[in-house]
Amino acid sequence: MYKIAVYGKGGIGKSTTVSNMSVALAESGMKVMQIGCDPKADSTINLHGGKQVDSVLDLIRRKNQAVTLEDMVTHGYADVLCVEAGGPAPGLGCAGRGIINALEMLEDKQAYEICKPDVVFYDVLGDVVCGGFSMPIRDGYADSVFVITSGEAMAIHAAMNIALAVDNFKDRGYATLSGIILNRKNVADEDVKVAKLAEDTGAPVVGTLDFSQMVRRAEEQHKTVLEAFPGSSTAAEYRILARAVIEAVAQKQKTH
Amino acid sequence: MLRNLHEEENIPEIKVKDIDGNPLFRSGVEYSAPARGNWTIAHVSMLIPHSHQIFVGADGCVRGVVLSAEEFNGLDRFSMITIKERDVLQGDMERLFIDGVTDILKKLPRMPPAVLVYTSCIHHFLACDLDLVYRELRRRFPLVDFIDCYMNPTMRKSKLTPEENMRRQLYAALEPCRKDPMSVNIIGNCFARDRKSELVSWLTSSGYTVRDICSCTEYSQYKQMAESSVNIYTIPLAHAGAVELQRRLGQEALYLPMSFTIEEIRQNLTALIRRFKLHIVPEKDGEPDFSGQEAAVEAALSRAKRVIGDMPIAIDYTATNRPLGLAALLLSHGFNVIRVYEDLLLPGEEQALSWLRSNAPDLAVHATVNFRCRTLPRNEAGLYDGHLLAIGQKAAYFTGTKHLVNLIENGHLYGYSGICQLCGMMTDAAEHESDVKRIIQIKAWGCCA
Repeated sequence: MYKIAVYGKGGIGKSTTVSNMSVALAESGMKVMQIGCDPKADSTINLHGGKQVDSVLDLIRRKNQAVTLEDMVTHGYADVLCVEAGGPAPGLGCAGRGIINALEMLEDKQAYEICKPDVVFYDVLGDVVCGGFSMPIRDGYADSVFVITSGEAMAIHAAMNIALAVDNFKDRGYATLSGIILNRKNVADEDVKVAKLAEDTGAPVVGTLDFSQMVRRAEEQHKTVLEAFPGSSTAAEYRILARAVIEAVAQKQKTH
Repeated sequence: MLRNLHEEENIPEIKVKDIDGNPLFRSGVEYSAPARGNWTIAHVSMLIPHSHQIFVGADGCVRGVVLSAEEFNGLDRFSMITIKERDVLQGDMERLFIDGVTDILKKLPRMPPAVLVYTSCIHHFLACDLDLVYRELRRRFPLVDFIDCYMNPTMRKSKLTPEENMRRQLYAALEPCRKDPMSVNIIGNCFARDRKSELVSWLTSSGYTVRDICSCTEYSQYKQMAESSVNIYTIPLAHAGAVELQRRLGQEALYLPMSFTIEEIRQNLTALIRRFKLHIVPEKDGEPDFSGQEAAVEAALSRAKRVIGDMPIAIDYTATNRPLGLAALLLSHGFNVIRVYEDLLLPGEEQALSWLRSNAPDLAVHATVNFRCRTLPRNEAGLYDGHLLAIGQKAAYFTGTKHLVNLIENGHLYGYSGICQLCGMMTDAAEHESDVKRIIQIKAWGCCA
């Protein structure tokens, strides 16, 4: 099983990229589980035609321990297994606690043993702001971390912070940074800036996505690009990226 | 908004015929009666011989357990790490945890074979990486069994309760090993089942070794419990532990519940006989014949009834996890049970409740934690010139009687012989007064370090 956490600045396109990679891998015959680790609970929304599904935290609030695995795991487009951690109302409570609860609940219900996914994506909120947001990279959860960034200064700054946070945990045996994904916003010297980030973090750029209106148009239809425009060049880029991510993780597993 | 709860309809007593849900009384502000004989998570873990407890939490959280440890002379088996706000702001709770435990263990005069570390709510709110903590502690102290324990009352209404968790973790240091088919554990109790009970005596007289943590005086005896092929448990609190041992060590879980219902006892002992192929009692029509034991029970109940007469009896849930079952047994034999003290319908009580609905619909069930319990009069025994028999400390406290059957969590009782013993205890208590005030103030009756 490949267990992958994807981090990056808010709005950089994590959920869009992860959802498209999930579909790409599912189309290639892999069983994919995508776990949205964000209180907004919208990581998998485009795998459900724009329909918001119950988050694990919603379910716990409603049903407490009576929550079942079937309640938590929904089937999205291309049969991607979807989970949304959820969280408290914005501005209230503890968002990290939502992720902790959701991941513990999935473990309690033996989600990984029963669903037996080949790939698990943890689509995590913008930054590693507290213990809750480092949960997905702990021993037993993700093995590899990928950071999505553009060449924008704030995105690179966030990516660097994430890389440092991941590095801080290296003595603990947590997941390590396996690569950077460049999601182009067409800013000046974008490739150079991201190459410098790769050099500073010691993680390679595993894939690049060109800026494309296809993404926005697909989202307007509440679909992934692979569903809305399967023959497009953007869809092809997502397929290449998904393969590259899996190869990077497989290579890492082989090395270790 | 402040509300005066006393103005609200909230009567802490209900008749059996009116019970229509569980919990029996509305949750709210709770009262804790100073009848303290039942064991808490801090006492149960003392059953592991020579183990050491370390509580990690805020000052206020560990205050109670410090007092408990002092009370049962266990301060030399108890340490604590207090968490301050600065530790939370610092962020590295794992480091504090590891360094704190290391420091304590290095300063102990002798390295304990097992260390039970109690985490508190704050660790779970902050997602403290306990796997990491225990991995490092085990690396630093490879000869010590670290057992993760939990003092997280804010989570008591989700997942396992702290009590269930403790009864599970009590056996966490047992390690996989070759199983002995002639070795059997009885798990999950605070007191060993009586050696003369059918459960223990039939197994031992048939060549089985019966192991119980309550009888272990050395750590090696505790570890030997891993060799047993079956875990018998008698109370629902032990279920999670039995399931875990089945999963982890492959020990068969066999639930033979403590009961006061003759039919259920018959079923339990039949299951015991069949599972272990015991040839103890004669057979009749292909079934074990317990008529001798049942006649002894009837005789014991008759003897007790002759002495106790119509003396009113109150029973509480700290004496037994089957208070309604006990009430039904006694009422069916002419005893004058006037009240049961409990806040919840406990698992396994469905049949007893059904019997009581039909045969004693006006039997009162009284709350113990409802806030109104704090101000209710404690002199009911006076209405009967002090002649009121309480089975359980809370029943004694609430009624104000001096006639106490000081039974905690079923004590050593089990099976037919358990009922006979209880009859003896009831007779004794009916005939003699106890220093109830002194007895019920002692926390975790029978616990010692």
